[in-house]
Amino acid sequence: MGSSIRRTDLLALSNLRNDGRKPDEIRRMRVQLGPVSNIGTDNSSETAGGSALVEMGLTCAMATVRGPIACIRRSDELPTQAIVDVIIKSVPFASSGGDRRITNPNSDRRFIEMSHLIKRSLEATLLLQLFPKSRIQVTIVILADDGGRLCCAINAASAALIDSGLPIKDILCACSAGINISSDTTLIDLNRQEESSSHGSKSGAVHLPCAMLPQRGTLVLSQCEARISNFQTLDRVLEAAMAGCRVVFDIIQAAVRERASALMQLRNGQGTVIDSFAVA
Amino acid sequence: MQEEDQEMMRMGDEDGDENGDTTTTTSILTAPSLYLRPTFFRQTRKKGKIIKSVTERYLRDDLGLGCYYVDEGLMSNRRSDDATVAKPRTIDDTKHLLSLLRPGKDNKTNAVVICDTNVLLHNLDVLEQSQQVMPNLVFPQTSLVECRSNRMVAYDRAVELLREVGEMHHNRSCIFFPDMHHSQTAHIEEDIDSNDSNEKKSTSINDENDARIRNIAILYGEHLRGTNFRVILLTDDKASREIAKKDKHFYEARSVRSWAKELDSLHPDLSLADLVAQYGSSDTKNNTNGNTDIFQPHVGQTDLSLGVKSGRYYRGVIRSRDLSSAFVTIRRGEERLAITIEESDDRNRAIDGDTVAIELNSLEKWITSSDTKKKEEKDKKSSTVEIVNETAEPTQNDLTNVPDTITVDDAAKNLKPTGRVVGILRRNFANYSGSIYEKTSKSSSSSSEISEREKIALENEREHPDGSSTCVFFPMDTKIPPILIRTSQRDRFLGQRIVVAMDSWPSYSSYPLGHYVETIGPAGSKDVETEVLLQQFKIAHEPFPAAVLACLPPNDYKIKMVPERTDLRHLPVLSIDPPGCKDIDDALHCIVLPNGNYQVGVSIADVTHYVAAGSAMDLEAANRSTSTYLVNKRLDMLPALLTTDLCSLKANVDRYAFSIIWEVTPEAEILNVDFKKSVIHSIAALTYQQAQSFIDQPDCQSDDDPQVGAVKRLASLARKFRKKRIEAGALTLASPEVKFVLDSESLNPTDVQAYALLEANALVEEFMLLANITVSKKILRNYPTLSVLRRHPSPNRAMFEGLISKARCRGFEIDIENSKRLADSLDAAQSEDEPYFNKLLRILSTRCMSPAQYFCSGEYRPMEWHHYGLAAPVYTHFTSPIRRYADVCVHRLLAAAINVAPLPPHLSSKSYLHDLCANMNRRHRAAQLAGRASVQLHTLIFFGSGPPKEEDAYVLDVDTAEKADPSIRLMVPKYGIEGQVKLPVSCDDPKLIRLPTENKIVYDKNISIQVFDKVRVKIWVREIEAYQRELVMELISPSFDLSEKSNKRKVEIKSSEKKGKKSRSF
Repeated sequence: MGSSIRRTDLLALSNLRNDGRKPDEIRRMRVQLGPVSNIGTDNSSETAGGSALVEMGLTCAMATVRGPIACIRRSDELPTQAIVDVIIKSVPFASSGGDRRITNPNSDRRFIEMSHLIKRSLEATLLLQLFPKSRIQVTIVILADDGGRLCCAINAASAALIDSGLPIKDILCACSAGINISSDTTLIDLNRQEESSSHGSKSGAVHLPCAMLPQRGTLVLSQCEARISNFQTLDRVLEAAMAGCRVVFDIIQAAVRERASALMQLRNGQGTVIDSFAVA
Repeated sequence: MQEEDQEMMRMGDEDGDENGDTTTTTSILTAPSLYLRPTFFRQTRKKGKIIKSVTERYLRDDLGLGCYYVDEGLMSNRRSDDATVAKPRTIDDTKHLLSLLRPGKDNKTNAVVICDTNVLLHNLDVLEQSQQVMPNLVFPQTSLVECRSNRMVAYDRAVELLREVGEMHHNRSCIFFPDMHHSQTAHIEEDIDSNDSNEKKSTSINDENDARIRNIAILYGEHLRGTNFRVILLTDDKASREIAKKDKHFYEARSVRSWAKELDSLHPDLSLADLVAQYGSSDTKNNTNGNTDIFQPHVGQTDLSLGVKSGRYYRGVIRSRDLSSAFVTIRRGEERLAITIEESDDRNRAIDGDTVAIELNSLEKWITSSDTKKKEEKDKKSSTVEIVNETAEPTQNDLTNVPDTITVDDAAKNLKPTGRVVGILRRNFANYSGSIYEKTSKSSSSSSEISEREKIALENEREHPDGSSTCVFFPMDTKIPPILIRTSQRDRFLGQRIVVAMDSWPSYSSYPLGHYVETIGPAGSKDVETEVLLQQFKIAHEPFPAAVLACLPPNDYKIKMVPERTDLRHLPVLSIDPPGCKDIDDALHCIVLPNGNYQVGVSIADVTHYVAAGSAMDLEAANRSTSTYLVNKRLDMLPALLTTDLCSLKANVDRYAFSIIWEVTPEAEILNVDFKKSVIHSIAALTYQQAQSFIDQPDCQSDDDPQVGAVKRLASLARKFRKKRIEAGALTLASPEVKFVLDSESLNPTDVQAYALLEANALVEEFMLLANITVSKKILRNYPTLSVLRRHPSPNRAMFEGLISKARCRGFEIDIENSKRLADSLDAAQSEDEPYFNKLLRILSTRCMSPAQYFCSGEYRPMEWHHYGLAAPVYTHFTSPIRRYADVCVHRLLAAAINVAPLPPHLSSKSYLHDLCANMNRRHRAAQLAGRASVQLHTLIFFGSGPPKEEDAYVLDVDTAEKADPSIRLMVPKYGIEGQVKLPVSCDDPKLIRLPTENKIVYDKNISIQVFDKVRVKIWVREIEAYQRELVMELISPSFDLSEKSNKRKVEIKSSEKKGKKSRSF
């Protein structure tokens, strides 16, 4: 018993997490804009389309955006602004261990909840009043899940929005943060192992996904299911998560700039854009 | 499409311009330079399916040369657990490293020692005790990780060593090297030749680990080239040493033994080689010398886990009572079953506590009930050494609630399944205290056990060419087999109690191998024996660590009235305890309200005010779980400042308390109850004796004195509460409690007294029960699944059968249907000619019940929360937070329930509570056993210091088995001891008549002994072996002298009492 209370881990011994990161480092993140090229081309020129593939460590999500398009039912339409429609799915082989239940994404509550959360965050990001009575459709597929799939999905959706060119207030960025109780350290961008150790059994541990508009400093989403004993703890975790979001912002922005400069070159006839997907 | 892209780009630009600050100030925390995605294959736990799992591993180039630890938390008095006391710091470069390294005693020891996994697993003793000659240690991450998965104890000790060195040892440095993430040491060849798949498969995980550790040695070798320091890679893996030899990378690879020997030759006073574990030698010997196997070889680990998964083997923890019998609890789905392991071949080297894989024997080999009986009878006779408990020994069944029999359909009778151990999944090797075998002149003349020891010694002792010798070590713990140790200082160990660690048990050896750890002191001395028993029962007895003491309030701490607390200082609160009690944790008051009702209050020391949840002190207390009371000393759960001063509700000082206040009618009807954190001012600390004299005063005087009045009112209420409880079916149980009168100087016992139970004791007990029950209801209402409660399971009929039949032959029926019926039948069983008979019956029936246990309310169904002995649906411990951790938890729960403090987060975790309760139960039992062992020790000293004493004894049991030497079991109430006495009659004596139904033996028609008879015995102490003494009882009357003249048969006895005020078992 004594040992289980006093048990320490790598973090306390060397300030490294189990995968070798420092507590304030996010996983390796890759953003690919426009992996799917024929979105939005079928409709009129008013409809934009975009896609993005975002990898955060081993978690990988792909998002596509179409819009503005007509609502399916008239009753869904809003007179002043567009509605956002988010569908999120997971491929059956996404989970990297443990949780391998194959669920129906239409009825799986976790996905329904996630789609609501993402919908709200996107509504806070998009300039919806520009497209009344229309609909923007976002489809996200989780291709691999090694923890932080909500954040990865939001980042993918955000990057896809940028790719589509729909007007947004800021780049929506998401990152999670948590607390490792045995050493009382704040961690950001938790992977599956860290996430699962923060659930249930180990009390005092916290896992808090958060999304924000970094340049405005607006927090649009934070979700915490753990019991937090005081406000200082919450502040600490939130602070860390927001720092993580800013790092994500830099990475997305870098990817956007790179893509844009490639497109510029293409426009000037200086090069070709070769998508890995297009080639295949 | 392009237009859109442009639009997007514009936006990005704008963003960047507007908020240029943010982008520049936020440094991009890049994922580290190199990056691996190792793939593992692992099996799922339930079905044994093989799944692939991929994890990320980042390699870094900013790790320098490892981490060392700096103590920074101790001074600042932070409330934090050990983990944050020492902070890791990275060693940047060679210069930094050199500034940390400590010089050794001479050239030879001027070295950095890198420890491989096996060294950490088995030879920590060497590392811990060799600070002068191995001043610089490096612990690779790989070793620690492997260590952690193999032996948690070793891992904890290694981490402790790392930290301690950082905190206090300035002549030693200990470095942690995260080799799995260091870009220069992580074994990344896998990636390089991944195209060449044949090659890749050939390297196993072990080789990779070894290679990484060698990489560290290479790295250090390069960095320390040209300095005074050598780099030593300590490894017991021959193959790794071979590769290291080829490496020629400025480091040396050595085995632990050879290195220790070399150090010994330079510093002979160290005797490091004695500390070296004997595991490495066993493996090599097995292969080279071709020793014949005594035991079946164990099945390999992989096959074991495969076998367990496929259902061929069962996995479980082996628990044994002694060397001959053991149980393994296995699971099949939801069902649990205890499997009996009988023969030592079947047991196959497993020791108590090991996690083993077993295979069931075929049905023919299962034990039928008749076999069991025979075996039990055999056992009973052989095991004359028996510590007798107040409650029943928790059997396999009670401890785990697992049946050990199974009904086979066709035979329609109960069979005990048996099995055999095929392999050991996890060893539970620990340190054991005891002494090595020493031949004495007396030994030749004594009983069979000694000749057995001598035989073992003769077979196994031998000299080694290098001057060391193998000795046989006999642990005090009877569950543990003798251990063979190799030492060069045998002569120094003779007559000493030493501590030995068990290392391995190779199949060619009849006994496990181990190594010497430390010497406690000369055998036989009281202090040393006390130390030994503390060690034996694993009771924490070292002083509190600095981190714990740092949590204490300052010495001049003043207790102030604070607005959050209710001021109860005006109330005439008083405490009633045994004389000389230092840790007063409860106080009472009782005043008459204007409406004629009474206000009764129980105030309990507010320990949680001083012990913050999660602080180092809290963790230490949780670990100790209970104070342990020995005859001559007390081992506290909390530091003395709290135990005897700040928390103790002493008279005439203000103290913080947790008070429960009832309004009660004079007829003991509870009208309402209130819980308050308060400040009290006790007006008197009474002894039981004083309180009793108040109770005994005639009524007319009582109202003058507030103390006398309060005590009298409390006593009258207590009587009424008690009556109600008894009516509800609470049991009045008894135990043969005695206490020693100790000599004030030497603390040697000078006399034994029966423990007097006054009405005042009952008074305090009654209100404590009331407080506990009230609190349990309150916390349960607020935290239905998180309450820490105490349950006492109903006894099962099988355990009571013996007692029922014994009582029947005296003409009394004992009904155990429920506690009410049991209480009534015990009350009815009065014998006029023998006043002690009723108490005897109560003592025996207590022993038929399993002990009460702590549990978390979420783990059991409400039905099972019942406390049988107290006939209470729920019960908990609230009233002694100074000496029990359960009470501390309950205090926190209650404080949260009445909204004065939030519930600490860990108390809302069921799995934490489960561990906590398990630990509390274990510690509670260990404390009881240690207390009993201490009494036994003092009983020996008491009888050893005087002439043989004659005393009355009662017959507890008569052995009426045919073909067995007749014997009886006796208890001496005066001294609280009991033992088996053989009758001086041979088993086939024709004059002997056995009457099993009546539990009676008749000899020569006029001498008869029946159960519950009163007899007369003589008691004295005999020395059976060097430093081993035992009590001997001899029957004086009725005398069997008619037939044979001098037939003094004697048997050892062990004492059965326990001590002190704090030992109610419920």
